[in-house]
Amino acid sequence: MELSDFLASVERRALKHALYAVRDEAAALDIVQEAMLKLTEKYHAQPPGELPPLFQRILQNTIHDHFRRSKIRAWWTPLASMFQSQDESDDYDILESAPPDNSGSNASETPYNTLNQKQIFSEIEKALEKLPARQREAFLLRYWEEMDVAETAAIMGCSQGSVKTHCSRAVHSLSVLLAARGITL
Amino acid sequence: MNEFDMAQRIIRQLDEGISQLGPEQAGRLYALRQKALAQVPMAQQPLRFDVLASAHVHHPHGRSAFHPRGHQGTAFLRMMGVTLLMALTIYMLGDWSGDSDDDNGQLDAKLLSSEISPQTFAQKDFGAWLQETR
Repeated sequence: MELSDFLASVERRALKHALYAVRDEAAALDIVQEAMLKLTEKYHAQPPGELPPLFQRILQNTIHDHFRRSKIRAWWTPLASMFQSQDESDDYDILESAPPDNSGSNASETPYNTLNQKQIFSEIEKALEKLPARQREAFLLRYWEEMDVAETAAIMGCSQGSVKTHCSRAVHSLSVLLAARGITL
Repeated sequence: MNEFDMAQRIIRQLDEGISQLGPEQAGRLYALRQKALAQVPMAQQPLRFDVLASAHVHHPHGRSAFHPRGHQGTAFLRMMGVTLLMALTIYMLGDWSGDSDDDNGQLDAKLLSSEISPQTFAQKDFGAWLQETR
């Protein structure tokens, strides 16, 4: 697979990865561009098989760099830090703030078949944005990018056990959040 | 439903969602990709000329004379052309400078003869002197 084919195959997911993390389309596009430029500039000669984990690591690092830069900017502008502080917190449990699961009681009001594809996609995206960053990162790398646990752990810079925990919590949180919106997949 | 099945169902929805990405976002991503690919050194970009493709010589490691090291073959040919041109130029200049000795002699003689009076030519030793100075 050529480099251009590889980039074409991952660019949409990469944009979504960045967008779920930073929640700003312009910033997400900048992140994808930076990741693509780094890959083509430094690793263009790498074997095709090594490109996916390399690109994901670059992408995740670029997202983290974005938050670091935002943090520095926020230090100068205290007002901005008020909006930024929640973004990188990994310890909170999204289920604590999730609305109660009423899917059993009002399933007929918001049945799955009344939602079109676009709405379901939109709800899943919203649920993903609500996940703690590390859970979302683990879930997307492990399941969307189809990395194995070891690769995901290497990209995230954590243990394989942490990856499994993050993934498990992410899937559980997504199930609850989607069920609360009347979506059962 | 177990974790893996649930994850797969979510991913299926995500895949369908990104396949319907708007043309504006898709266009931007295309532009980003092209910009990134422009960073790749020429050596990594395949030459797409039919003539070169027909002359494709495979390298044991999958590389060839024209791809992805194609620019080296082209550069070599270009360098050879420049060298040949320089050699030809030097040869022609050398040949021309050889002829110019005679031309300069004729010119000197002409200038000399135009400044010397006819009486001088009539003097006895002038012929010998003229031969010596040439």
